[in-house]
Amino acid sequence: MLSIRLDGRPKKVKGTAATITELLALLSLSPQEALVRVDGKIRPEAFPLGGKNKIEVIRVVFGG
Amino acid sequence: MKKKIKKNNLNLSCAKCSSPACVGSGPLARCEKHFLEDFDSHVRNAVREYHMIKPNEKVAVALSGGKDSTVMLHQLVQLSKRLPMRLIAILVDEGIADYRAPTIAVAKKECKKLRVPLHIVSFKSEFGLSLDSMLKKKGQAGACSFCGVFRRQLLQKAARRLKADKLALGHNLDDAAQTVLLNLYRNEPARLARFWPITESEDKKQHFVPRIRPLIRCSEKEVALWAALNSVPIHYGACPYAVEAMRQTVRAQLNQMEDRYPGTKVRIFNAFVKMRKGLVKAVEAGFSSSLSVCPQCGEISSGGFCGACRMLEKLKSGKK
Repeated sequence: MLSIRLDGRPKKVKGTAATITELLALLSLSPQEALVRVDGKIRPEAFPLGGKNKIEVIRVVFGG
Repeated sequence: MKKKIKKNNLNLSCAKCSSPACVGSGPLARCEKHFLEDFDSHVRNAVREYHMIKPNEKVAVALSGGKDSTVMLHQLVQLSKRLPMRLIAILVDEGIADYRAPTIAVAKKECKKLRVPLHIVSFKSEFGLSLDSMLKKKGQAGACSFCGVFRRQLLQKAARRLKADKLALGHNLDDAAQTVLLNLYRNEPARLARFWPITESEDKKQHFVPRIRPLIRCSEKEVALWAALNSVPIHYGACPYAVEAMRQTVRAQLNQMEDRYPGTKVRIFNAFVKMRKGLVKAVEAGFSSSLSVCPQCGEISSGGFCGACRMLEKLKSGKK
């Protein structure tokens, strides 16, 4: 179980993710649709994730 | 093993300077500094390549307070230091309860910070009904296209009233690639032929304020990243009526393709740029692709009565 923030709100994600790409897949998000901050810095999709990282996912694609 | 680690590190380092990357991979990986430099040059090059803005022109920025238009406002303010222009912003309040108010707040704050005069116009004052009221009468199916007709007309009217030379829209590369595919899927060659980074009317008497798209070379994700790196306060919320099924499907398809084959969106747009001249000729040989004037209100129309007049007539008659 991963603890992250999604659009500013805390969220528990079932499963494990070794990279940002894998985390986004667990959330059913395309890497084109989200920015991910790891410990306060925006990182690319290939960035490896560890258990102690503070992870924040921001969805950026909305209609309207 | 050593080789594998090196390869992985390359994916995480800027291809230009080897600093930690914030976006992309391999040759497209960029650190914050180089991403921001690239982004600025994409906007500058698009403005120059398509002759979007002439020196000292008055440019009206169509500002919603969402990420695209807010980033565009920042970019044009930055660009105005190299290319002198007079900037104003126009915000259309469609009248969508619980959605528009936060974006208006962002727009007001950003305009104040950037010292750009903001003009707010509304559906209610111009057409007598808010979008919420219109959709109560009409039903919510096709709400995006419906709203878009009134919003485009209102932006055009306001830009003309404010004597703007250009009307800048926050359309990005994703919007452009989606538009190309949508018009192919719908068999709308004339509509596709009208699409271009700068849209002008062929009839100069119509006082049509040309629409420009300075972000046309920047992807939606890049726009959001620029906003995040520059601490631009963005309201990331979805419009409650934004359920235009086909565009959402095309958006998802394109994002899947971009994930598997990076550069897909750029290639679609570049292919369109190459074939557009031939497309315009082909369309003109068959039927008109240019804009004309609505005989009822005098606004821009693609032929006969404009979309807004047709829709208002339906609303008045109670037809759905």
